[in-house]
Amino acid sequence: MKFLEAGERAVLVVRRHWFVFLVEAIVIAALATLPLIFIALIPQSVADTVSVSERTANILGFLYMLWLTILWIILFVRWTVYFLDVWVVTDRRLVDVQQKWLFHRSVLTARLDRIQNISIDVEGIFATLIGFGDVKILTAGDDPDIIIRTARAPESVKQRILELHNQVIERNRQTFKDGVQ
Amino acid sequence: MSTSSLSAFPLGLSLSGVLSILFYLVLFVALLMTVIFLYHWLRYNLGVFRAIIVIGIYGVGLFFLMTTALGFLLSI
Repeated sequence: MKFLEAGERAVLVVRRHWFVFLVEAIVIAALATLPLIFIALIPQSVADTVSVSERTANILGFLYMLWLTILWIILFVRWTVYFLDVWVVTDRRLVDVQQKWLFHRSVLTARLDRIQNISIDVEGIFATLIGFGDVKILTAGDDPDIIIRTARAPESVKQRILELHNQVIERNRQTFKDGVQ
Repeated sequence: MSTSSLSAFPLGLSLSGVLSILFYLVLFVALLMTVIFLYHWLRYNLGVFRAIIVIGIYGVGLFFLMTTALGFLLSI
């Protein structure tokens, strides 16, 4: 990972829960079937009166294939954005890589020893049943607050970050003691 | 009266001509997006194997859809 400093080690990589992408994929699949549903909903009495020539059928088939191609591209755009939107917890920092769009990427970092409070927010039926939610990390000073959105198993993510936070605090304390002695 | 003045499309294009332009436009966007996907999946060190799998699935799907669309277009 390019944003890691020298000697820094990635301990935990958190992505949005797969359910978030599944919902987007279902919406795209619904849009793909929309023209077919529209044709199926035409009453038989109306359909009988309209004679569709082979040429018209080919034009409709062509337009439908173009529609599917556009949706196919959108699906992969959404998948790429989903996959590149990531939170990395290292042994020193918390890095929030926000992939908002294909060419819109922002990276926030917060030092682990600056963490003041971590809370989790699981909201909704699916989030409760499947097990995903937001992990809100409040930091001191100028470091930005970071929200890990729709993380899988938010409770364990919180625990792991707290463990790493305590390790960093302990390491800093030890370094300070060694410096005084 | 010339044929072009009878056309329902601008510049006297025929329906086949308009559909062909549409096809080339989508093909251009599809190829452009392939390059953009390759750039994103290879740039951020997500793994070459993973990038090949994702771009491979995308490419196979795209090839199938575009060839089917071309088949319809040639039958018009």
